[in-house]
Amino acid sequence: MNSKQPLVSVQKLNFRYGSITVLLEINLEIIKGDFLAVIGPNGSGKTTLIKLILGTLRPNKGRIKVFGQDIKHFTGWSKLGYVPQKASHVDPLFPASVKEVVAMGLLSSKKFPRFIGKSDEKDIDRALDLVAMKQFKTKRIGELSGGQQQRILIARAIANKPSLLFLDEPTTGVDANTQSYFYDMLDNLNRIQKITIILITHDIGVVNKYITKIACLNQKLVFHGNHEEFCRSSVVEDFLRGEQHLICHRH
Amino acid sequence: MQRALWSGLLISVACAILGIFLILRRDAMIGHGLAHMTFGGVALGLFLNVLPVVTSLAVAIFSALGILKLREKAGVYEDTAIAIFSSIGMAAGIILASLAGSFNVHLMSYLFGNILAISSLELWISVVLTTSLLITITLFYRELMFVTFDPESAKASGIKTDRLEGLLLVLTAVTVVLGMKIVGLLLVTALLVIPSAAALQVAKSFGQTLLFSILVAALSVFLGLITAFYLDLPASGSIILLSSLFFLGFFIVRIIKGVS
Repeated sequence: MNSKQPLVSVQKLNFRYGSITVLLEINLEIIKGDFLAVIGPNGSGKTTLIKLILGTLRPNKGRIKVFGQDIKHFTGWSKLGYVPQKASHVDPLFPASVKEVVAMGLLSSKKFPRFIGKSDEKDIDRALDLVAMKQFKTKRIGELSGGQQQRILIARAIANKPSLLFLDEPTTGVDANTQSYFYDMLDNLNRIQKITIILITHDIGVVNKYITKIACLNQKLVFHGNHEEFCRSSVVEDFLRGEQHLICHRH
Repeated sequence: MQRALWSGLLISVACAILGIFLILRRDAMIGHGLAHMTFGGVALGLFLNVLPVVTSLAVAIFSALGILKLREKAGVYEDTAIAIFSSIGMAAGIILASLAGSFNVHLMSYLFGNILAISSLELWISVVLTTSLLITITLFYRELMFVTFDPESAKASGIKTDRLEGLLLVLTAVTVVLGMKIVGLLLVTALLVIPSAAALQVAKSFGQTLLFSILVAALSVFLGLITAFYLDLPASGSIILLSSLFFLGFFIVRIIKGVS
């Protein structure tokens, strides 16, 4: 893959759920090093866009390339990490230990049969270290708080050392202190670990100081650019209609 | 007795492992549905004068895949799909059994189980199928765990979740057929569900759940057979009641220890 090529390229993407159009003519490029916040009102297609990029949904029209490869034939799954929207709804009765959950993140780099061995232990430890949760390694995931579970699911997503990390509203239901710690951690992953991050969020005001780019969705891609351009954009405030907390100065 | 013990232990281990995935996927009742369909397969075997294990295996696997397709393609809820297939299986079974004049002790042995009457051919079929099932689960263990825990993320990791769901249903169908000789079609769901449900009360990891579930299932079969033999009781009832006692015991332990 050419180093100047975007990590993700979305071209003329359309998607419908039945007769309801969710995404229309989306064109988007994600560049290496981006910390992109995807914002928009409820039902604007944010989660759908991420699912299409990850190949868990198929578009009705358009093309998606990830690392230069069409997502339909994509094979480089170990380069991707994903923390889903429902991360805060882990089944409290599920008997998996923290170690077993993080080990799930290593499967995408393994060939059949995907066994986890002693040699994988250091990757699990490293991922848990990055989210400061190593001391909970043998705990059952259901015994942890919502914020701690989120950190474990991030550890699972980064266990493979991905180049591209997708997070879908990861701080839903998490208190303000934990949120702040959480975004510092993402900032570290982006700047120090060099992981490109795509974050779906409802609170642009909180993530404002960490992100490098913003994409606004409302069926169409209303805006895509950096923070300053976002604040100058005339369409943005009309589009947000008070649903998003907008702060147009950096902390 | 020795034949019954070996086949019982092998099949109970398969049930114990598979049951965990079914419970955690909220699919515990699929075994019950497949058992009804398998009844149709048994009746077909009796009608065609073919070994019922063979026909019921074919019918159970076909039904499992049918449920999957109905759910995926026809937009039918899973429990509705199970209800439809199980009704068809039961209805066809009643008609076939009537036509074959097979409403007799032989048919009852499939409904209520008769492990002590297991033939050596049936034992060998059980050994081959159970071994294949255990190897398959071992090979796909981590993927099955991931798909059970978080199907969306598993799919986003390149894991073929649809194929795994199909595999799990087919394995369940095979297990139901294997389990029918031990506890009968009416109680096979209990062998799939109760040992795993007991293990889930106290286990702190997936590995531990597997271990406890296997232990409960194997001990229930072993002690159930001994009890049935010495007290002259039906083996199926003894096995299931013993596994229920294990569940009760583990449940009390959980309450006492305050495990979440």
